[in-house]
Amino acid sequence: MKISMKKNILIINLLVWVLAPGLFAQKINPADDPNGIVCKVEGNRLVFDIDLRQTLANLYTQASRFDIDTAVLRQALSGVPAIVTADGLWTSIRPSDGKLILSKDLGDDSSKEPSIQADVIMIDDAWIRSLLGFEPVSMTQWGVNQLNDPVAFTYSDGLAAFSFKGGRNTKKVFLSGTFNNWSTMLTPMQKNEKGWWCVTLPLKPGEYEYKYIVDGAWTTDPLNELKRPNNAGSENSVVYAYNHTFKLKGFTKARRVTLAASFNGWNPRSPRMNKTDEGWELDLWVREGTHAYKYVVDGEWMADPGAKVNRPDGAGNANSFMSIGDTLFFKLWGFPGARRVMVAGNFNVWNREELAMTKISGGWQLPYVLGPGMYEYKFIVDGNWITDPDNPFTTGNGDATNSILTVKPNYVFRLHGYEDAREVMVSGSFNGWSKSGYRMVRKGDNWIFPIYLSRGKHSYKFVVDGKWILDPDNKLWENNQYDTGNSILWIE
Amino acid sequence: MKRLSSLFSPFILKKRRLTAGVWLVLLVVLTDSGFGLPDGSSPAPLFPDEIIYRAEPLGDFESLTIPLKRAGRLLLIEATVDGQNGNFVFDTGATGLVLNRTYFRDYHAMNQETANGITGQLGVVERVKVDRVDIGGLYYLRQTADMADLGHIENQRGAKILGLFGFDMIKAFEIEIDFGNNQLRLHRTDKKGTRLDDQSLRFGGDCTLPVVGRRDVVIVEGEIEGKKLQFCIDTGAETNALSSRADDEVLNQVTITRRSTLRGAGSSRKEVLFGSLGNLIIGSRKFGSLDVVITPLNHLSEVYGTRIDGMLGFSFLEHCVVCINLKKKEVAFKFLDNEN
Repeated sequence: MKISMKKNILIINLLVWVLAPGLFAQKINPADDPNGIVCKVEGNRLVFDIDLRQTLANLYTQASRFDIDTAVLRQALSGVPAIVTADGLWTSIRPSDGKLILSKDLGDDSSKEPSIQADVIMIDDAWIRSLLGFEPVSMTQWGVNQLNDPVAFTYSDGLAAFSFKGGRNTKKVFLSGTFNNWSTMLTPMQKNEKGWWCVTLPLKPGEYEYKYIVDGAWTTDPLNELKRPNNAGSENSVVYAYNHTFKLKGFTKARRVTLAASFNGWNPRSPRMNKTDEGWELDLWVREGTHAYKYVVDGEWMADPGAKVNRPDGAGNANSFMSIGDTLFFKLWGFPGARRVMVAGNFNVWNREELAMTKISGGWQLPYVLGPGMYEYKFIVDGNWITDPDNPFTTGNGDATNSILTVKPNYVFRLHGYEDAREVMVSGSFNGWSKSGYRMVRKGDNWIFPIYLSRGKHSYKFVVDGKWILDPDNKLWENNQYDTGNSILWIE
Repeated sequence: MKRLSSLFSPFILKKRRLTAGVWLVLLVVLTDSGFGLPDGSSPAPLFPDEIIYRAEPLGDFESLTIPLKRAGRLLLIEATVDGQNGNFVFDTGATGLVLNRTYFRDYHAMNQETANGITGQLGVVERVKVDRVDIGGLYYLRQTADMADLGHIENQRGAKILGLFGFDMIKAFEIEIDFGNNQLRLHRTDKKGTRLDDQSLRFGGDCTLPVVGRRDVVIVEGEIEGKKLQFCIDTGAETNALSSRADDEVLNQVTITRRSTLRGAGSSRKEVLFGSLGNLIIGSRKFGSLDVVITPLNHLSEVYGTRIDGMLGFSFLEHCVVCINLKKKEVAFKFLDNEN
């Protein structure tokens, strides 16, 4: 396994190098390359035309691009005429000084398992990323809609209403987007008496991409200016379901008020707030968590006079704070004699000096807002790192054991029975199939582990006292390379 | 360490399923009631309608536009199979309907036996029956489907894949495949293959080629360096492919940029050479440079019963709108750009 992993990394690296975007459009003639190895197919033989007038390092770099085994190359260079490998028989000849021809029979299709019925040809991930120009998805922190007509999208009380003005001959319109997993069938729209096609659906606050399907044709929302390129060579419309309103009372004579905050990089130019009778307002969506902000009134920075929490900004002024989401309380009972108790976790990059707990009756406490997700943490009592004694969920072994906190879990792993097992873990694609995976906890007749998983496919197994088993209550599983199967689940 | 092998295979090339055209299942019914057959006589063979299966597209339309989705360079069609909704890979290289075993394990195989392919090639076909398949306004009743493990596609493209939607399902229509607009347009035709809907909406292609060979897949003739080659039009291929058995003059038109050896399940290995193909002529158009893999395709030729020299996949099809009319035995191309 180790070897194949290494190889995989090597191939990926090479892919990025070899398959830089636009490569196929270029005309590269390796024969002109003084350091080149030219690869050809002649008479069903794979032929490498190798120029020996190059450094060995260059030669090996070129060879790895064509996946030529270094052992084969070394033997060929030392004059061995026939080299037997698992790949077949290589022959090497030296037609002239400075030239080596290495070749082997290409053979036929050797994968003759008749049960394989799929014929889908896929290209590898690195290649497709270079071809499609995938960019790593940046996590949007906040957003404000840019609608040309407010009727196009409204959101209140958890209900989102989409409206689309169809043509006179439009027969059918569907709404498709991230909220329905881009289904082309599940969200039909209804035509009202004014000729608008409408649908209302429950949505949580957040950012959504969508398109209309008008008589089978994908269409962006003509009334929405906010669009984002997709990987199908076109664009999707983007809309935000709001979860917060910033308000500033007064200042009605100001010409311009903007919001500068930690989530927009303290940009004083945007977003602009809207004037109301009593002052200024801005509706937006902002990601769950704790955020610092200020208002900028005609160029003057100021804290929010209506904010509940203001903290020093370290430059002699104050920032206002707001948070979205539920407040959690880290609690540690006991330790009355401790001088200093801190919390550190992956949510604050394990900073041991940042989050001090407050002494309360019977123990220590820290209120904190975290968005949905899984977090690892520990308490630090007068310099000693300890796991949370009241939290049974842990990961790792020995000193490397951390407590696990799952905020708003979207799935709970459950294994029924096995009451005599000493240790039950769940391990899968979400934790790199780690053997010391996530430790499950006995509750009633089940072993459970609540988890927050990203959207998409996840495969997993339970590990009962060291033995890997499929989830007996999940009928979805697929085969793996060991023929033992992996349970799978989809988070949508 | 448990991992799916496909995570480590940089390129997956799997074989086409075997097909023997329409299957006739011979059901021998022996009555065990009082009307038993006299000793020595043979039981009467029956061919009830419901066990002669073929894809019969139903729905009240003359023309239908089906939106397609993308996962990488694969095209997906959304369908509901017996109430289960999800994505199928639109794959003109596959024949009928293929279900991903992960989601259809409860379905009992009608037969699981060794099937005789057209060339005597053997393969195990696990065939099931589904009651209803819905794709927008198009639907199928009592449809047969083959089972396959398609987890590798899901794992590589991050999309839930219920199965493959093959060529058989729509070959009764005139089919327009429009990659640029992510659309599949189907038109009902009369016996001669003429569209039933408005004649003015007929497909205006830049060139029309005859379909070569059998009718389960679409094969057209192309040309490289004066050599005539047979290409299968395959929407399930993310890149074009060229047989490693092609003539040297043909293969010389490929600038090979990379090679990798794939280790598939078991001991199987496959050489894959990646490169750029110059001077391919399809109909009226000459393509200067198309990405391509060189790989053995002899097995495909055996399965299809027609020589296959290559496949035209996404990296060709994105340059045109293709219109396939099997009744007319024609494929028309409308090229989108004037490059190459």
